[in-house]
Amino acid sequence: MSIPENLKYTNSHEWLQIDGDVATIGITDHAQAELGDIVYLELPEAGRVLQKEEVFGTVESVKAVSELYSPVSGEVIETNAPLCDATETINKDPYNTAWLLKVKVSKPDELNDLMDAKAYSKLIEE
Amino acid sequence: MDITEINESLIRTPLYSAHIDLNARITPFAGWEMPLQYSGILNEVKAVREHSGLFDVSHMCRVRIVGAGASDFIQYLTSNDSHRLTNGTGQYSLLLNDQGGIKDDILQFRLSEDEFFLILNAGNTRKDLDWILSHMPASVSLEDITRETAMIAWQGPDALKQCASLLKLDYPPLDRYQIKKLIYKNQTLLISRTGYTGEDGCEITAPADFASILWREIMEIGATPCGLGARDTLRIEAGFPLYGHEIEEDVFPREAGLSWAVILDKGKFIGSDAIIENNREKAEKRLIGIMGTDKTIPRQGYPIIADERKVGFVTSGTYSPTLERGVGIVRVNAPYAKAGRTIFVEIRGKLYPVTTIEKHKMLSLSKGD
Repeated sequence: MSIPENLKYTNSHEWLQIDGDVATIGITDHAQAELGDIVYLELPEAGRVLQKEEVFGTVESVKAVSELYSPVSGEVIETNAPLCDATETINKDPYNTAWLLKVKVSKPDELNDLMDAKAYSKLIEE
Repeated sequence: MDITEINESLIRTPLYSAHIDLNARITPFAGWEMPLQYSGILNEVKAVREHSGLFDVSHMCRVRIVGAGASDFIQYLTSNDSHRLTNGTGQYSLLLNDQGGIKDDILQFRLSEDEFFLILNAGNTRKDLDWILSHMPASVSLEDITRETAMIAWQGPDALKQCASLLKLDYPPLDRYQIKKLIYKNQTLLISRTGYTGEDGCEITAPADFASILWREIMEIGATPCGLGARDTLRIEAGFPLYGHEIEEDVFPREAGLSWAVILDKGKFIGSDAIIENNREKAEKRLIGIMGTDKTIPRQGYPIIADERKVGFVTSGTYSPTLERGVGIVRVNAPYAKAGRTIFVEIRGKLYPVTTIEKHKMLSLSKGD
């Protein structure tokens, strides 16, 4: 199971890459493997302001529905909309081409609540 | 750890170690540890629709009903007309309760005048066996062979050819709903031309200690291992009912489109009086298939909306790999259960249009009809 060292993680299996005040968000390798073949993705519009832990979208495999939770508060500045028509990419490359959205972080303190790779690795072993 | 403790109460099929060797994802199902998927549901469904797949369905309850009164007992116990069966043939049938509701849907085979073979849903095993035993006359005995055997479903357009080749049988090895006992490598197999995928194929009951060998041989001849995830998706695409979804104790057969399996003119049987009584009224609810226009997926329990009010709900739904869109079966007020209408599924607060279609016709769309 791949868990890149340079990313931050949530206990609902999202990952974040922090670059200044912009967080790029996706779902983890563990999450895609648990879901199985992903066939549906719903993302928010750019411009929407999310609160931490707010549902921002939905990902579905053939048999399962999973909601996506925003790990931080902030405005959606970009989404990976083409991914909605190529959902298998989330299974194949969850950390790179299958990023979901970029959020302009409005409450930087919230980043302190996130897990590092080591802590996330421990979480999914349980 | 907790997980080990939970698993200890679950039953493993004789093929459990074969599934582990294949890196299957295992899931608890009706008290059993079953393979949910191997290579992935999309790949497994495709294999069954285009070539062949094999499934471990050993969790399904298999019983022999034996004795001088077996034939008349089956006729009284179940809704279809078992007296129409000749030796070595079977049929789909229902166990009804006294109110005429569906206790379970089953396959029943006549092996001889004095011996019937029944396949019951795993989740209903205890309930069904108690029911059968409570009605069974002294002239008949019941033998549950579930644990001493395994059952493998082999399904797909190539399945019967592969089967004939492996078991050295003529092609086709069986007529539809025919069942045969045969000896293969000194083992007694019970093979029927039945299934639950909408494809042709067969189901084989084999001695438990021979199951892994047979499984391996079926794989080697070209069948793809498929789990319960693919099995459920395949049966929804084919429009087949599943107990707990489309049929339940409080659902009458005609509300589930199953009147064809209830033969009232055969004489009195369990539930027949209640069915006759109920038939005097109009059915209020009916099942119908739905197909989405995109990849939005209807799921069990989602409301169905038409004329700006709730008219029913989704009983089963899935993404259909074969039709490349969401499909499902819905229970709606009878006037809405007509093919070719646009109704709406409410998904996460939004309404999505879907087209109604006779549930057994969904698959034919993929075949260009």
